[in-house]
Amino acid sequence: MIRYVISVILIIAGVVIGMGLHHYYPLFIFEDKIDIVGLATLVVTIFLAVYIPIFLERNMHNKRSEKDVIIRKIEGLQSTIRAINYTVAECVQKQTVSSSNNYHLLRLFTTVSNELDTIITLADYSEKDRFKDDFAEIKNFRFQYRKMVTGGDFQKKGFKYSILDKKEEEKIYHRFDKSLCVLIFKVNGL
Amino acid sequence: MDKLIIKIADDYTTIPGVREEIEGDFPGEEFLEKILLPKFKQAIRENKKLIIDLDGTAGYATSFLEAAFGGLAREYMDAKIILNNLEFKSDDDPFLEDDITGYIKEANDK
Repeated sequence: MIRYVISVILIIAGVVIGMGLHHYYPLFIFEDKIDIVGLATLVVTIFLAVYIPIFLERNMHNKRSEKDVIIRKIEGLQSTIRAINYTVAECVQKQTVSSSNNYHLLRLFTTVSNELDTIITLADYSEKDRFKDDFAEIKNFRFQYRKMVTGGDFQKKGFKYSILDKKEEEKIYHRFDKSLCVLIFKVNGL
Repeated sequence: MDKLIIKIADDYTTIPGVREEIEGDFPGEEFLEKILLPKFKQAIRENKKLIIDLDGTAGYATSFLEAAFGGLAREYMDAKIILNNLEFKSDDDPFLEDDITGYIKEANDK
């Protein structure tokens, strides 16, 4: 409301100063005729002066903020799957899956699901259906990765990952991570 | 349609385990035999939906879920009858239902 009052005051002040200058200091000569090209230029100039800062910049700023939130969440998911990758590496190195690592891995997969769900919700809110194929691929990697890490004899007493298990885990981890990197690029290009 | 409910954390355990009984505590096969299968049969008999509440546990290994729900599908030799009569509640992990549905569909492919 204050902005509108200030705008009106400024317009009135401009008109009064203009009339005053014209009356007391007639430095400028005004044409009685209106040039159509000049009028068009004036209209376009005013339109750009209002449209660019108010609508375009605001829209661009909002879009940038949305993208930043989604990208931050994707990076969060990448660090969670990295934590899974490190934990599996630790288990391979120690030749055992301790009870704490066991539940740590299960908790990390729950976190992966929740983080992915948040990213899908945010992306749908921002650009509905645009990333449908990407999310189908990422969901598939999440399913495969969970099955690889917590499937088989996982949680069986004395279970350990073999070198071949680790190799397979690395393969799925890198594919999963790559698909998330590609998603960041696509979100950034919106 | 009336509903029957299994809340795994209350009715079985908060720390679901492995696939088979010889492998460790709270295995998927035991859950299937003692809780899931009898309740599912009751649901079919009484024409009720069976709701599986998956929340409140420490988390599920793939082997537990496959043994329990894949095992149920193998018992009936049909994924459709299982999926038509089961419903899932999983606020802790939003993709658990998708995973279980996958195990049920794949169960009779093996």
